[in-house]
Amino acid sequence: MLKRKPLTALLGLTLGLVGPLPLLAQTDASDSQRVGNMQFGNSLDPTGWGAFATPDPAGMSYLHPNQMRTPTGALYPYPHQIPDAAPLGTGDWVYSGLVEFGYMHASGDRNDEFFQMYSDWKNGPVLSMLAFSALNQKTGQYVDFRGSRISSQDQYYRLRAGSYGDYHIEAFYRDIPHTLSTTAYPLWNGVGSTDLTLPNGLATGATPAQVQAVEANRPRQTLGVTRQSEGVSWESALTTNWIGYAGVTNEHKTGDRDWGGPEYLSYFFTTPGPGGLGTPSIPGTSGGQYDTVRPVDFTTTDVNLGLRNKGGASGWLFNFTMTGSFFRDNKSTLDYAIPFAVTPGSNSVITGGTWSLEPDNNYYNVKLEASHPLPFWHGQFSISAAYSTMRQNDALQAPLSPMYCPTGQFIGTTGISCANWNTTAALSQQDGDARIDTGLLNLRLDFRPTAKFSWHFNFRQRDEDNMTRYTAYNPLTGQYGYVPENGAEPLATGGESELFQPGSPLYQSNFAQIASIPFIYDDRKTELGGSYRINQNNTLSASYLLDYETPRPRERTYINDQHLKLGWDTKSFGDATLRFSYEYQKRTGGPYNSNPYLDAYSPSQPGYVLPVNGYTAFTVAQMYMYDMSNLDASKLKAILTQPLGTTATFTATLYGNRLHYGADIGRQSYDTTGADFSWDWEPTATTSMSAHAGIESTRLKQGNVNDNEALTFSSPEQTDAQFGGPFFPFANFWTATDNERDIDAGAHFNHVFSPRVKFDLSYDYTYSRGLNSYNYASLGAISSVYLPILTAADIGNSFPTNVYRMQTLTGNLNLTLTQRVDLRLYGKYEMGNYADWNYAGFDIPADLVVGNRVYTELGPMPNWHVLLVGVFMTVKL
Amino acid sequence: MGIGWMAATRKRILDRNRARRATGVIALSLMVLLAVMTTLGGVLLWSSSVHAQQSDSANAGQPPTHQPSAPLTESDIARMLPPTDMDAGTSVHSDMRTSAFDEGHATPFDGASIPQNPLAPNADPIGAKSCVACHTLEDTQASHSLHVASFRASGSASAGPQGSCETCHGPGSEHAKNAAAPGLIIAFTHDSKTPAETQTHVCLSCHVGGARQHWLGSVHQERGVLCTDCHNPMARLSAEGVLANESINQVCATCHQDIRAQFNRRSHMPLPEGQISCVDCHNPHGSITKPLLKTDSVNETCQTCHAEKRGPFLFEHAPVAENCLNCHTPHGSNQENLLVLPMPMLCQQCHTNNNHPNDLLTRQNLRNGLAPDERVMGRSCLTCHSNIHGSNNPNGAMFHQ
Repeated sequence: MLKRKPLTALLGLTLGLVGPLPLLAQTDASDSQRVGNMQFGNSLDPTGWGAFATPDPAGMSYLHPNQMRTPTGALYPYPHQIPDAAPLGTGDWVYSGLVEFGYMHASGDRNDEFFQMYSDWKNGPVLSMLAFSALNQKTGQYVDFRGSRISSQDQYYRLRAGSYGDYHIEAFYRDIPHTLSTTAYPLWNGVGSTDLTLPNGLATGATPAQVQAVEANRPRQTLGVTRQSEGVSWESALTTNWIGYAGVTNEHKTGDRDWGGPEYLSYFFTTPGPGGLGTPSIPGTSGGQYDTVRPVDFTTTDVNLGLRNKGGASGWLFNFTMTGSFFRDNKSTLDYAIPFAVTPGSNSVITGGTWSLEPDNNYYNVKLEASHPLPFWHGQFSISAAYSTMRQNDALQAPLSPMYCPTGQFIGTTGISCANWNTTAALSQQDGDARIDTGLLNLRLDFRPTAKFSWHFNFRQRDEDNMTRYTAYNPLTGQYGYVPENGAEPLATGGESELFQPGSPLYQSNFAQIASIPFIYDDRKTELGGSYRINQNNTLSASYLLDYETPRPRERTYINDQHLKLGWDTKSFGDATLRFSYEYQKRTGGPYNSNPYLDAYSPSQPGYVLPVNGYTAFTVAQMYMYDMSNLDASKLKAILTQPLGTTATFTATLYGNRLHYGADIGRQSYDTTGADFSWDWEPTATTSMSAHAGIESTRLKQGNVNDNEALTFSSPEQTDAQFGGPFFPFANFWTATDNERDIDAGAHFNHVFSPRVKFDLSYDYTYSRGLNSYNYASLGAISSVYLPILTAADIGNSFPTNVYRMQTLTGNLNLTLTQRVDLRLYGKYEMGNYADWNYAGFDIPADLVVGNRVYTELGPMPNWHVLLVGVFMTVKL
Repeated sequence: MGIGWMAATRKRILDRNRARRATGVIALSLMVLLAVMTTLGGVLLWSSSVHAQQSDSANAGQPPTHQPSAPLTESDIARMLPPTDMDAGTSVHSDMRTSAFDEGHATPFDGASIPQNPLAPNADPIGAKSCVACHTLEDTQASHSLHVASFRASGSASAGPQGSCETCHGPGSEHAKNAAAPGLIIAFTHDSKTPAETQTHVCLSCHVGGARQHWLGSVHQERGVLCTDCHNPMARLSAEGVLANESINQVCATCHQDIRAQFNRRSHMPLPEGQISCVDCHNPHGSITKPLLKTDSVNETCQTCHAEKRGPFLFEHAPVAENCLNCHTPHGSNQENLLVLPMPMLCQQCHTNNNHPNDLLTRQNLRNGLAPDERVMGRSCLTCHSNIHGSNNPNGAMFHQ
């Protein structure tokens, strides 16, 4: 039980420690230390505070008519009308509260994926806000509650209570929806379970036409997940300077989402269509791909315990944190039946597949942070040290499913017996036994020898130890390696190249992966920087960072990533604040080895016999992965905040990045250019208006080269990894460029007509356009199986344009009916259009069957219009 | 190929022109909308002004509600100030840090002694009653703020509840004598003459450590961002956090407009929907990572919510283990699932291996093309390599199972 429910024990321990602690003094809620659940809002009120956001016509001060500005220059909003507090009982407590409820109705394309993405809009009653605050003005004790409910899958409730400066407790419950597809037509029965079965009338061996006929009548479903979470946390002073804190959060994530199901490649078996060469092909003779649906049923419990010191007699600022996170996958496998035989006309023994979904895991982290003033140069020394470990030890699945490769059967003519692979006796170990430990040390010195000059030195070392070792060895057969794609690959190809067996003429020369690859990323960062204040209005800063990485086993044994950063902060242009940054990055490293993974492959094993023609080049030698390749980068950014008079602010952001990788094969460059502008206007406490517009363009270019497939296995030249050689000839080179253009604009208007009438209107516009173009040296760049079908004219130079455009107009009209009752009318009109070439041609459910391939979703709707209206009563308690 | 290329180019140009026209129409629509809204705003302002004038006329002879009848002179102010309500012996000259280090009886707001104002070193505290005599409305609004309300309830050990103004703004006697002279009171706004270090020191004297452990050296500190750029303790503008706007996300977007725009893209974190905030992942007060992450690495931050991606798996995918941002963009993307590029291009940046990964795939491989291909349609590479974040299946070396 402890293995499955360690969180129970930890929760008990937490409560045991927390419960008896005295609630004394001097704490402040350090929420920004905690990850997640910081924000409680929803689409109806993203701030979670909209019901209180009526500006107070009185403004902020009798001494000056307009609002003050932040140090940078932005205007503070006018203060809000906070409900008057009323006495609670006869003591010193006062309270205020507000409840807003109503009815919402959506018409039009209300099932659109983007409309529903993170909002569970439904026609029906809504509790848009329930808020209650109580305060003891003498003791400083307080209770604060906020909640909102759009639906049972889109709601939050949060309670905070405590005593100012003494202690703070918090509890919450929330549901966050995430709609992933509203146009899903899964072929299978059992969606959401761990077993997908074929609908009545279908069995393995069906024809595409038969499957298409069934698919055409499958019901439309929505795929999505909901995060339901609850948590409690506590923080309190233990003594004058010591503060303790703890928290427990439990999240249950449920639902279903698109997944896969490989039964070997289909495109190999493409043939020209019935009209001959150049007509649409009729795939569907071998292999098979299945776009299935997987269940999501996760439980994650996070426990956090900490102790910190605000600076005792020793002067140390100290923070010690222990974190435990326990993930449990309640549905950790997925089986699926397949409608198509992997090979035509034979007794295709493989009738389905299986997945291992994410294993249960535990994560632990302890962290100590401390800093202390130094006696000279107004210095400070800081140290952070952390240790974490991620572990999982789930029971492993058998390589093949006994249901879909039953005992007694053999995979085609390969001689591979299902019985040798469909039980865990086929494994070298029964459990995952996976573990990665990480250690971190960060040292920092800050000095300010003069009022104008400061400098710092930072050293950070982060090392990983990946202890996961798995050898793919089958003690039943004496073979290394595995049987890919649920056994479909050997069935389709008539042999198995992913198995290795010393001494076996059939398997002794196969290039097979026989072990896991435990990646390790060690990283040392050393930084020196400083700033100099030239005068009251200008500060220059500069820093140099050397990031020395030693990844293994990766293509480079070490990487030197150097960053030079320059900054200029100025208030020399009138009232404006300008922050200007420039960064130059240069990455180099050790010699590039395009295949550092041989230790995990059969050629590294005794008994491996090199084939007559050698083994196929793993990849082209000139390919540089973009996380390992050389890089020259320049990044520039300027942020201007310009006050305009006493009531308006203009803000502009200009930025550009130029990243050039030292690669012809792989990512070549990645450029970004953008600008954003905004204007905010607060002429009076009762009126505000803002507008913003921005544009960004990005361009990412990559290169690649098709291998000369005619040489594979048949010529010793298949071993030549050189770009320009016979196996990776220049003629097969191609490039692809992704050009993206984004426009974002909007305007917001808010006015209080009178104490009884308030109105706000917002318009938001988003437009994204993506064009994926390509160039190629010759038709050798495409798969050789398409050469009889496709011409250069057919191929063209780009995919269709991807588009995402959305416009939203949102309005609220608040009418005060009585001193305590308001009426709120809400309206939102959303329209958009969308195109994604990945889903081009999927128009009706029957389109989801393409030869031996079955897909599940049509993709988001190409056009949608939705009108959402609501009427709410607001009652001040 | 040449004719095909020309045709494709012509089509692209037509598409582009259509897109430009559409963009132009939209831009025009936006301008019209803005113009309408501006006009509406102007009309409303005018009507408000008329309404206000009418109200003034209607209320003639009655005492004004909020507006003073005439500006006060400094001597008026000095005459109106009530006597100080500060306790005898309250001092601003003690070393705050020393007092904060003293162990002893725990009293709320021990660290909140009255700070020295370097621009008014001889000023003395005068007490909140004196401050409120002029700053009446500020007092009303600030009383809704957690910050001031809490201070009033508990008070400071050295200054008491009556020190609730001056424990932040410094001693007020010089300011009271000469209210128009800048710098005689510690101020936190745009035109403040108070040195930035003094402003920050005031806040950190109480809010020391914890989430602010790494404030010194953080990018916000280095670039001159001050506490009151993000916080406004003088009014309750937000549900919590005494923010300078209604939500964390609006506060951050004040400067980070480019990042805000990313959240409006096709796939994004649920920030515009109010389900998450910038501070869910970032600590704006500083951390030991450059992007101000709350955890020690990108992956640890992502895995806080996506714990299933943690594994460790039998078979790891190198870029996943290294950094989630190798394939995903953290805020918003034009591709599905926050991907940097559409698939298969995303995968083909690294996978040039022989056989099926390195083929040029084209528009003819779409569902409605001449040669539909599973490497392009739908989920592309992920149709087969679904366990791309790692597989725990003995057959999962290629993330097929």
